[in-house]
Amino acid sequence: MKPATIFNRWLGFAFTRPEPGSANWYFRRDKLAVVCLFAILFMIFVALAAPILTPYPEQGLGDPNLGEKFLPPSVAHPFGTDDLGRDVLARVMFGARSSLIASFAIVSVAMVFGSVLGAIAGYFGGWIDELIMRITDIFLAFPPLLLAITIATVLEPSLRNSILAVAVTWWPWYTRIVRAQAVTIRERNYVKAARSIGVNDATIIRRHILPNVLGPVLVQATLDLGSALLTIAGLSFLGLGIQPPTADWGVMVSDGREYVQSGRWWIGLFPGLAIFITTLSFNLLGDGVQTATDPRIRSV
Amino acid sequence: MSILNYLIRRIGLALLVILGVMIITFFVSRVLPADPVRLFVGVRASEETVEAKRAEFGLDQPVPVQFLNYAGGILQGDFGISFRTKRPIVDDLKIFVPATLELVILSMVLAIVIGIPVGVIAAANRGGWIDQISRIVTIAGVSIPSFWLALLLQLLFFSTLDWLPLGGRLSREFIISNPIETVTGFYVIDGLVTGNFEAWRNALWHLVLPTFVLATYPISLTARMTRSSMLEVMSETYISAAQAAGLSRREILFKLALKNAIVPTLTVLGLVFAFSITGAILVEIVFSWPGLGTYVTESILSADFPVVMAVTLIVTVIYVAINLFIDILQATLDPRVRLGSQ
Repeated sequence: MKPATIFNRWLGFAFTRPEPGSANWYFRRDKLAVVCLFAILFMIFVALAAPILTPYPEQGLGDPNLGEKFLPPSVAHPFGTDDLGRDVLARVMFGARSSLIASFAIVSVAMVFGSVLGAIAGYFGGWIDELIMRITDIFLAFPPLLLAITIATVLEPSLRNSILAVAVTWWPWYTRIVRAQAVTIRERNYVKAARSIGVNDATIIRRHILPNVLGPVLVQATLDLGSALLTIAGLSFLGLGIQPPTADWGVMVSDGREYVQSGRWWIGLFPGLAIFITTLSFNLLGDGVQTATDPRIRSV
Repeated sequence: MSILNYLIRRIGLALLVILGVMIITFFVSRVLPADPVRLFVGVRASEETVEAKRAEFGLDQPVPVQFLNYAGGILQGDFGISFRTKRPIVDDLKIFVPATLELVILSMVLAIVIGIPVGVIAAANRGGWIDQISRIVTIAGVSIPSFWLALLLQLLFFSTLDWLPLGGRLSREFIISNPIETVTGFYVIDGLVTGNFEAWRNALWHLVLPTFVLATYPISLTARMTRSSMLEVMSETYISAAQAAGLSRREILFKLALKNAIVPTLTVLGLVFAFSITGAILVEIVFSWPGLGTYVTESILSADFPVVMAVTLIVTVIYVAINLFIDILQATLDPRVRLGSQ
């Protein structure tokens, strides 16, 4: 792709004035959703630049600093220090990495896997459809957090395995959405035309079905980012996710529980606040995207 | 499709799901661990003890036979023995299941009495400031990590104000001198039935924070769902007709519109009920609530697979049963549901 094309397609979307009545135009009228988009971009920036932004990068990565245990918030340590004397702000910044990676990874894996299955079920119909959808029903009937806990228990606790455990519970939703769409797209004339000139099924699914279901799937993905983050934080809170000394928000809140009685509130408060703000931004963004792209619910 | 056919199809699917879950839990608890017997007897036991135990548990038989034994046991209420406590799992469940259900049911009550009215009022004031505030509060409600909210409330109401207990179901002095006798396992009921009002009040104080934390998500989701289905119903012509006929706003909202808007809300309530049973795991841990969540996490930490799988199975059965109930209720209330599945 030429640079000019990339500009028009992607950056142009952000910088040019949208046509009134388009989804982009509706989205930008939702100031709260736009603010949330920037909040998420800011979080991604913090996660990437954490080693430069904090004066204590080695503590962020896990090195103890036993001389400064349990210091309350101050100018030198705005979020205080934890049980090993590490700067909580630095830990929160580094903790953004695993949380963001996990939520994007869960949603991507579930989206790709679920969409392909849904497209296959909807396109072929018949017994293939029946089989895939009954398996989907079984997975949907399984309580997601519990299934994730079960899988994470059997596997070694790590970031990759916890992502896997949550993604396994997530794909059926995409299968349902895509199948419903694929069933109608299958009957369109361009698909029939492609089939009549002998295009093979895999190509039709790839070229005609999947691109046409992308819209609703991406909206669902945006809506799911927040709950994916909450679920992965819950797993690491239980000790089934990423392992210390790597910084992680869920693990940090879990550490904070031990200091409720001694009143050392800063250890658990700030990492939890980070989870809350990031999830809230994801959810408000998803809500804004959904409203902007759905003509039935956007208010005029 | 007649309602009978729909019922048969739906119940068949539910049974299929439960069978699927049983196969999964069986494989995880019996086949996946390198040697479950070794986990049970400990590393220092002799080879003979291991073999004796293996025969006792029937683990020397072929896998399909083992599965039939496992499934047969469960149908008779035998979930096996815990590696950790060495007690039959079913005895533990009798204590922990009511503790969890007590929390979940109370938080569902809150979701209904708070969530539905908030959704109706927000829809009636669409775009107004009440609607805006309720949008932000309810999105915040589904975004807040329950385990963190629990921690914050402990810091405020226990550490700072000292108004409410830190956790547990009952204070230690009551557990020792004046415990609530078990009738149903629900302290809210048992305390009253046995006339132990002191302990009953104490149990209520212990319920406040965990119930509120667990209810945050259900309340918010119910309010959001009620709002959007109310908006959908309000745009229909029969509402305009009622307005033209001069019915009061109150009558239109709560009598005409809510009646139809309640069907999708019911689905959400069912989903949320099921979600709360697993959501309770995180809340119970923070409040040291002696329920399924605490039981299952302690078992995870000690690699007590039979317990983890028994709890998974129980929760799934409850989950499937609720979904089945809601689907049937929906099909009864709204003929479009069963006609649509033709």
